Amino acid sequence: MVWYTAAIQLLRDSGLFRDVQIQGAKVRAMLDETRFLDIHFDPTTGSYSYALIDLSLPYPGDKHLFGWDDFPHPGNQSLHELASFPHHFQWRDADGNWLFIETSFCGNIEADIPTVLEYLRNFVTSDDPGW
Amino acid sequence: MSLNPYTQELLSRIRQLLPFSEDEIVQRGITETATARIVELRKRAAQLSAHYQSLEALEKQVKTTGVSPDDHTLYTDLLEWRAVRHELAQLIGFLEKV
Repeated sequence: MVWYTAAIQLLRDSGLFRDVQIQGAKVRAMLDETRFLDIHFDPTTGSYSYALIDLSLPYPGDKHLFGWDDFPHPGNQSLHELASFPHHFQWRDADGNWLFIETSFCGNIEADIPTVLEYLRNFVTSDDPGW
Repeated sequence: MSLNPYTQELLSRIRQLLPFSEDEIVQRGITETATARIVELRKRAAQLSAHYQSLEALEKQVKTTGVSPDDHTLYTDLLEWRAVRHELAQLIGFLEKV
């Protein structure tokens, strides 16, 4: 089965999103007008990026609010010290600086998505996301 | 696979209008669904190609310049392009067998 079939089903079943679509070969799940979850996955290597994008963020770049991926961003010492490196979760602190923490993700999308959804549900229902 | 009553009714009605068997209609539907997805994937591959020239060039760019935590676009485009290529190969292989 193509990788996004199960992902789309899990996202739709969560009831968190107003719309879930396959766009090209990525999955985009809309939370509201400005915020969406983008799921990128390479089925040949298991590499991934699951990111909450918020277009209203004041920062330049891809408007990434938080997310998980396995890219070994060079020059980020705290990331490279993680036991799960290159797999990591990243989010911005109150000053807009990136913080990196370990993740149990390793590119098993069907196992990862429920954790992403749990995080996201916590985020949208609370001012304190709980990390 | 059992069809729901509405689909079964559509099949019956279309068979009154066209000289095809149910099998032929279903097989044509399968082929057209796969073809439509191939067109969509090729369109996305063309967009990426217009931007980066080739998947190999993008892979080289990611390796050479890295990807900033501020902007993952190079990496997410790379993942998407590989997924496009993989799915295209599977669909084309499927159609060749059909």
